[in-house]
Parts: sequence; structure tokens; C-alpha cells
Amino acid sequence: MSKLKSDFFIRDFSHIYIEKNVIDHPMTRDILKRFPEAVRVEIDHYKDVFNRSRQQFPVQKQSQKLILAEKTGEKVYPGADVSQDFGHEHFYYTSSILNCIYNCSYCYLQGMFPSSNIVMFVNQEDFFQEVDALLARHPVYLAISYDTDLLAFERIAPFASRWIEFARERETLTIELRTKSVNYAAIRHFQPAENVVLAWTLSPDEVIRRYEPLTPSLDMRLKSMKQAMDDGWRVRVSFDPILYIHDWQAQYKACVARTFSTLPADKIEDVSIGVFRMARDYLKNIRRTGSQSDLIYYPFECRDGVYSYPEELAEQMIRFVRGEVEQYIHPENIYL
Amino acid sequence: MLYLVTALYNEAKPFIDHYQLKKVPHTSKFQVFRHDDMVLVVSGSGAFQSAVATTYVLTRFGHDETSNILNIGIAGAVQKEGPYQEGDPVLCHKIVHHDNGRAYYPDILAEHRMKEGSVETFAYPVGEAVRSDVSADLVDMEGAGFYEAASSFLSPHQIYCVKIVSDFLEPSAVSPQKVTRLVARTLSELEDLIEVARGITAIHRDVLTEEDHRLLKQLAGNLKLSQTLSHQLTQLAKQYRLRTGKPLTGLLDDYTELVIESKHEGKICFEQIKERLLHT
Ligand code: SF4
Repeated sequence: MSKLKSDFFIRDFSHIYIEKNVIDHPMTRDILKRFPEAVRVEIDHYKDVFNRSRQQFPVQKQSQKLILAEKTGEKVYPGADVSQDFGHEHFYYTSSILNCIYNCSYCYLQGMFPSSNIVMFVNQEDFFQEVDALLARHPVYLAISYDTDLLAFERIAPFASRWIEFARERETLTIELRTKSVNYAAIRHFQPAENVVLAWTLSPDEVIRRYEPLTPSLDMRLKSMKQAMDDGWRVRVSFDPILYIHDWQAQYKACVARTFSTLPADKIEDVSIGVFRMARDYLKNIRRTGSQSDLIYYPFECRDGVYSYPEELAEQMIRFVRGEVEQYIHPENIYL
Repeated sequence: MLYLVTALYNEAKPFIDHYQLKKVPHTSKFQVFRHDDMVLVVSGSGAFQSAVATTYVLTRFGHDETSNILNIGIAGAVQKEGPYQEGDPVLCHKIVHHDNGRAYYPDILAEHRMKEGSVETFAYPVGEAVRSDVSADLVDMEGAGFYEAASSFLSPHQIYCVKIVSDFLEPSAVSPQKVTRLVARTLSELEDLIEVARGITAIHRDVLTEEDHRLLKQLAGNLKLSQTLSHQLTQLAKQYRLRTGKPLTGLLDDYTELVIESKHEGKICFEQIKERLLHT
């Protein structure tokens, strides 16, 4: 009998590659406890595995491995131009994890990283130290779920929880935890922190079905958000990236309406809106490695090194979604 | 194409018999055997030999994203009371070159039923006397050379290194007959691995079929499209294929016979085709 596609691949996290110098790190030991069956492979440096040449991101995605490593050098970066800074002067981002368990078709990670294996930097204490050094100079706004969906991993490695605890004791630090997951339950036991913003990315169900494989449905996300808001957390909504799909107006109209019929609009921190955009080289890489999503092959236009929809269409999409959101949210609280 | 690389003829024999491989005449100093899309090369002993033979077959018979290559050979296990027994096939997740300390990591994506381990490649047969020099589970004389060469052509998930435990640091105790016997006993596991390897690489082939490519080439010629537009046409076609799951023929048939007079006219047709590929 011929085999199914899923029979060919060994399960995710079947192998854990561990840098020699973090083998005894407490976070390493905690993570390993969750995967007693995994094959452990000792390595010198995470790049020996992560940066090998000719890796195929989409193929590896079918059986993702874990790499436990120590992050050396810079750990916290000033915000990139394309990201929204929500009016904060000192906007930074950091990545405790590289790559994601979800598989969004539009994700830039596919084009940015040579591998889809997941790297976890277990030396979180060094990240904290760097943030403290910045805080000594000025207040800091820090996006902690960059280049990954941090909360989606919370049951494997509690990075988000530790960031929340860290932030709670530092008034001049604000952290944003962005997610598509419904893992709110994993941090629910905490008292809501004033300087922690939980941000959910929302999409119409049709987009989720076609372009956000493995992520929770819109309803599930809304349920988590509602819970977080009821518990007293600051919650941000993000309709980003908006995608040009058949019937997009009806789809996004319904999505916005459903969002604000579930969530109390007056208690929402703010809303960010953006259309699909991706750095030119990343899109090129994704096309080269043979993405199996139609989205990637859309005739995007390149402006200033960034691919997006033709200008007129992009503006039309933003205008439309913004118009829908403005029925519920004050324009001052909408970020483009 | 599926490639097998063995150091010795005795290691190759069970595959030659099982897959009915026929000798390819007048190749090189290496013995090469083939049947359909399976090619086996006998490299001779040593990392360097293995690297040269691997490079030779991959260049001579070609490679693409559907290719797979396996190094299969005997190896010594370092620990007698360890996890490996004589005759065990071991899929290597780490290959160390003893001479320069470099380590290689093939992707282990394939579901398999072998034990796994690391192998260290030495320039000489490893006996008891050098046990303390070994950092891996197994020792061989080819793995690192094979991997280094294969990884110049293929992705890490297309490369497999399977070592069959023949001894416990007593290489002289392994007769040629024993080698053949040990390899023959692992045929069923290896056959499964080959099937899975082929299955994995078959999934990730080009979005467009050969027929699609022919059609697009013909259209680009007919419409006198520049290289940029012709590239855009291919991207649009992929987008259409993945979005609808339908073939290109049928949708674009009316353009295949078209002869245009000027580049300008070609551009107009391109815009019409673009519209069709985006919105049908
Ligand atoms: S959830 Fe975010 S990081 Fe994860 S795959 Fe989707 S876009 Fe990428």
C-alpha cells in the first residue's frame, strides 16, 4: 500500500540539537524534560545546524527540530522601519526564539532564515541584563515576540511568563506580546501587568484557512482576547497583514464586525492595520525555495525594496478596513 | 535519481542482486551499476575516494530536488555494551571528520525504524588502541568525505548515511563474506528508508508541470515577451495553479496559435493573460 504524505515525516521535535555550553543550563533541562523521547545531538554552535547551506525551509517545516543555544552579542535591537512603533520613541525588539510552529504563507521568516528549525536562546538572563542597561538610559518599548510567536511556545518554554515577571518590576519598560495563539491560559495565572500589552493578530476565517495553517480560528482567538480583557489586561488588535483575496471586502467587513461584537471596543488599547508587505530579498528567497502558496506568486510591486500590492489597491484596502474599524474605534487609536 | 555509494564491492553486492542493477560500461575507475533511476557506485576505501566517487556520479548522472543519495557501509561501534549490536543499521545524525574536527548534520526528516547515532570518519581502520580518540558512537572511513561532497550538490534532507555495525573496534575480524551477509540482512530497513526518502522529495517538486513550462515557453515566444515579462508570466501561472488547482491548458489555449506583429501587441496580450490568471 502506498504511504500518505504524513507517513514520510518523523514527528516535530524528534531531534533536539543542543549547544555544548548550555547543556547544563536550567532552561535547557526544563525543555528537555518535555521531550523525553527526543534524540539529543550535541553541537558546538547553533549556526553549525541552523546555517547549513541548501536547506529547504518548506521541507524542514514538515518535521521541525529544536535547537537550544546561547545568544551571544547583541540581543535587543532598535525597531525596524517597516514595523509600527505605536508612537513610542524608544522602540526595540528582541527574539528569544527564531522561527515558529505556525506556517503562515505570508511569513517573512521563510525568506529570512536559512532553516525552519526552531532555535531557542536559553540564556534569557542575558537578555534581561541588556534591557536593564537600556532602561538605565531611557524608557523602553520592547516587542518580545519578534521572529516567532512566543506565546505559542509557552508550554514548551515559558519565555513570555518570564518576560512578564521581569517587566512587572520595571515601570519604565513596556512590553508587547504579539500572538495568534490561544495560549492565554498559560499566562492567565498572573495578575495583569500595567506595562504589558497583549496583541492578537486577527484575520477572516477564509484567510486563516488558506494562509495561516495550524493557527487557531478567529472565534478561538477572540475568546482568548475577551478573557484577557475581562481579566484586566491591555489588549491590542492587529488586522495585519490584510490580504487581497476573492471577496476581500465582505471577508474583512465580517471579520471586523465579529471582532467588535465579541470585544468591548471602548476597552481595546488600540488597533493596527496594514497590508501584506515583505522585503524584496525575502520574497525572492521564498519563491526560490518553492513555496506551495499562491499568495507568494501574486504580482506584487516593489517600492523602496519592499514588495506589496500595487499602490492604489493597497490604499484601497487600508481605507476600507480602516473605515470599518472606525465604526467602533476612535481614529486616534488606529495605527497604520 | 537515487544514488547509493558504498566503499566495497562486498557492501554493494546485496543491492546489485536485489535491485537487479547492471554494470554501466566504460564509466571511470569506479564501478558503476544502474537500473532505471537507481545508480550505485563503488568508491573504494577512504573519505577522499568516497568524495570523488560521490561527486563523479552526481555530476555524471545529474541531480535535482527529487534526488536522494545514501552512503551505506560497515562501521565499528565504540561500546560493546552500548546501544548497538552487530548487524544493526544505524542512521547517522552527526558525522565528524576526525582529521579536521568538522561536524556535519544530515536532516533527519524521514520516518524510519533504525537506531540513530553519530559516526566519526578516520583515515585508518580504528582498533582498540585509539578508542580514547573517538568522540562518536561509531567509526568508519568514508562518511565525512561522502557527506562533504554530497552536500555540495544536494540539500541536507536528501543525504543519508547508514552504517551497519560490523565489529567493536576489531576491524580485522570482519571478512568480506561477513560484510555482504551483514548488509544483506538490513535490506528491508533500507528499502523502507529509500521509499520514504523518495516520497519526501517527490512532494516538493516544481509547482508547474513540464507541460505547463512548455506552454509558457511557447507563449513567451509567440508574444515576443521580454525576459522580465516572461518571468512574471511564470509567477502568475504558479499563482493560478496553486489557487485553483487547475492546469494551464484550457485557460490559455487560445493564445498558443497567436502570431503577433509587434512587441506592443505582445504586451497587450500579456495584460489580458495576467487578468485571466489572476481572476479566473
Ligand atoms: S504566526 Fe507569525 S511568526 Fe508564526 S508563521 Fe505566522 S506570521 Fe510567521
